Amino acid sequence: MMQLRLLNMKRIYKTTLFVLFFIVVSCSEETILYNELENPDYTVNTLTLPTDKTKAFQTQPSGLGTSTKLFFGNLKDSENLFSLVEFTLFGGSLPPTQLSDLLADSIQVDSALVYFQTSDSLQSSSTLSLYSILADQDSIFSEDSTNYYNLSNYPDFEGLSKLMHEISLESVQPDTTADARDTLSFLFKDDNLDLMKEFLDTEQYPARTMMLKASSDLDQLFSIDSEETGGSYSPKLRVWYKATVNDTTTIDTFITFFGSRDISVVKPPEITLEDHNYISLNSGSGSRSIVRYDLGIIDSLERNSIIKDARLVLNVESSNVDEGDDFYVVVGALQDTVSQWTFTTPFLPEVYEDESHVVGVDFLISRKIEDGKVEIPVQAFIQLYKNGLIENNGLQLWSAPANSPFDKVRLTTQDIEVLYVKP
Amino acid sequence: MLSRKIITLTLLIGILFGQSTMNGYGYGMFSHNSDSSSLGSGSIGLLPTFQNNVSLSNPSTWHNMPFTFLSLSFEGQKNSFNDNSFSNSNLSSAKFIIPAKQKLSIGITFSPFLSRQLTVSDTTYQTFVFSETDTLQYSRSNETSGGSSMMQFAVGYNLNDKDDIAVAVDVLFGSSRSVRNLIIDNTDHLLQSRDYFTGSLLGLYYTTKRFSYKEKPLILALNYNFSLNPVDVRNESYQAFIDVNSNNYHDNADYPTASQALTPTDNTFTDEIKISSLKVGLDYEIYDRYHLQFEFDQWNNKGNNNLLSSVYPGYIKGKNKFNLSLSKFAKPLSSNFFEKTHFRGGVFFGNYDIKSTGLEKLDNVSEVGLALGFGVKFGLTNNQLDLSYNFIQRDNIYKVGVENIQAFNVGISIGDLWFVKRREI
Repeated sequence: MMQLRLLNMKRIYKTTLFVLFFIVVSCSEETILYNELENPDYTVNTLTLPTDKTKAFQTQPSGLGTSTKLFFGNLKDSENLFSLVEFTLFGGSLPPTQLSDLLADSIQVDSALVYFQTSDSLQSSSTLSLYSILADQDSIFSEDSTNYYNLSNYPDFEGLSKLMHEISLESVQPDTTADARDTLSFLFKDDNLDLMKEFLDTEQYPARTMMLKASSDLDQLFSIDSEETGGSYSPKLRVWYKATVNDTTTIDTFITFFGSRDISVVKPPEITLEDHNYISLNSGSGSRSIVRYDLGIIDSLERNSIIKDARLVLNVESSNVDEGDDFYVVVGALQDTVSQWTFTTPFLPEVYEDESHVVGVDFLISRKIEDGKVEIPVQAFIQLYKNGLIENNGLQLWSAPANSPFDKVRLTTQDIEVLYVKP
Repeated sequence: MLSRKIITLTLLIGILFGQSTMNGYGYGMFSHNSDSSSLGSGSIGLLPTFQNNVSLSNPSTWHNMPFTFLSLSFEGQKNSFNDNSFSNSNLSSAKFIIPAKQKLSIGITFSPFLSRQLTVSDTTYQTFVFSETDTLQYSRSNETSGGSSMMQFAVGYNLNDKDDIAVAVDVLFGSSRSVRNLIIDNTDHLLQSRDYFTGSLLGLYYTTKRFSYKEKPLILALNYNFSLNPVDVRNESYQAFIDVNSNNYHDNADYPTASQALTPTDNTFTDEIKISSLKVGLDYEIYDRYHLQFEFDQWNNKGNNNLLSSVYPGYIKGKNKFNLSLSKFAKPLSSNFFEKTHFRGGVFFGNYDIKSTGLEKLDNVSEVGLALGFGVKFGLTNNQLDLSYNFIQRDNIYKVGVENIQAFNVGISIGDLWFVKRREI
């Protein structure tokens, strides 16, 4: 009987292997042909979203503080008033030397040079003047927020300025070497050296800020590299001096201070009443727009409809963008509802109210104007709305930071055509 | 900017994979009796086919087994219609039956209950013009797979010399998956859902030898099955998405991303499948070991079928089947190959009552089949190898018409002696 049981146990094992073999081969399939089952209508379809409301508004001008250029001259209805450059308080290697250290009795300043780099070419009889801002405050401007409209919130730059030097822009011609830049130099030696020493006196005038201003007859755009350009292209102040170490030792050397912050203050083109009727975009003036579409029909779509394609198409009504230059339009979804759909601005409080139109991070996209229009894919925004992850407070449109702050476009809206599919 | 729709029918062809085109009805094709010995005679499993007094699918006959049996059946199918064919193989049942002293028997069976393995896709390339410039080409596919399984716990009991009874509880469990795919310019747009099945059936069996005809026994077998807990279907439906990275899985590379997707809908549909069936069988031994058998099965599904996750716009509401079989059972203790072999054959006829769920009226499906099979005993414990062949022709299947099925089934049953006091050495 034991033998019989052992024999049967072996059979059970074999059977188990047999089962495993069949499970492995049981997935085999082949193809057969079959007629279609369903009416395919409504699996792919379109709908149209009508424009609900639009709004033009003004916010803080942007881009000038973070630009890699400092601008001069008048261009496209913009007037570049002046540029401010703040220099580092310390220079040299360890131990660092403070600007005011150069005024010590043991230091004899021989000369100083303030110089800037430019990649622009210019033939002009205009001049570029360098001023020292003799302010008794440490930080007198903001790269983020100082602009033409809020100058009254800051020290009177022009009133506190003292002319230090002036150079001619008669022939600015970058060389043909790899960096293709020309240098604009303001040399201080002998007669005007005291002006520089006054600037170095940071204990009395801690602003350590210079102002650059072109003469009013400069009718074309001219730019120099800002501190955002980085490296050797930043604005620099170099001082040559002799330092007496002891009775027998004198060091003849120089020290360099770099531009730490800078900004161009531009009087932007005026925002006209006509601009209020369009999607008006200009970063120099902070001109932005909001458009809201009626998404009611989206609510009626089936749960499993996928918004496959939806393009916000804006046609260019007018533009001052030069041929060959790019203009990018940024679109973001507003976080909060818009309470006032008429034009608003923070700079004319007696006339208009300020509204902070905050854009969320859920939907943010940028596209370039091409062939007289810009097509912005907004299917993700509509899908987010359909999924209840975002509210239809509207889409804010503004000029991308990469655009020239002087470029301004006016765009017209049209209904959005939506392609949706349902598997 | 108005869109225009231009439908260009290039080729009206679809593709289907699966075990049977019948899987497209409702929650799929219901598996009926599936052990190899029964299939060899075209039987519904009520009357003895495994041995001359044992049916593997009728627990009231199990106590007649001299040994404990582990029985496994595997099926290979070849389906064909029009000019198309496909094949498939799977485990069709696994049974473990323990008889005790010719009086009592218990058994556990695992088998498929519903099969939804089916993919219907078309290569009906259609063109859709969007924004007057973008031309989309699209086709669709609809795939279902999986299905519920069944675990049966049965107890049989020999009341007296003539009457046997049994009760069986079938626990239904498992899930099926559904994927609808809209393929636009080679990009998959997927809608996935999953159905979870739970329910139970109760089966009552009665077999009697009280009748005779011309002094030869006439065995009557009855079985009534009904839903103890009608099958509930919990449906989880996930949000449709564009499978950007083509991995058939909704992740954050897709659109909308998985984190931006709606949470799945979770709905439970109660009493979706509610089965009752009555089976009647008559077995008459016309000569020694030659049995003529007749069986009839009336099967009904009175479930709600509200979910409408069917590939076809309809479900199987009922089925009638009868079969006529002739079996020659093996001679006990014979060493001759033919004498120790069971031979089986039969014909069967069935009709599926199809209930339409859409506007289109679906035809009932009829079937006719021929069954042949044999089983060879081997070993001291009446081990048995069963082979069966079925040829089935079904007619009026939705969009298919006539489907021919050739099914091969192999069963292996290993016996062992349990509940015997061992002699100590």
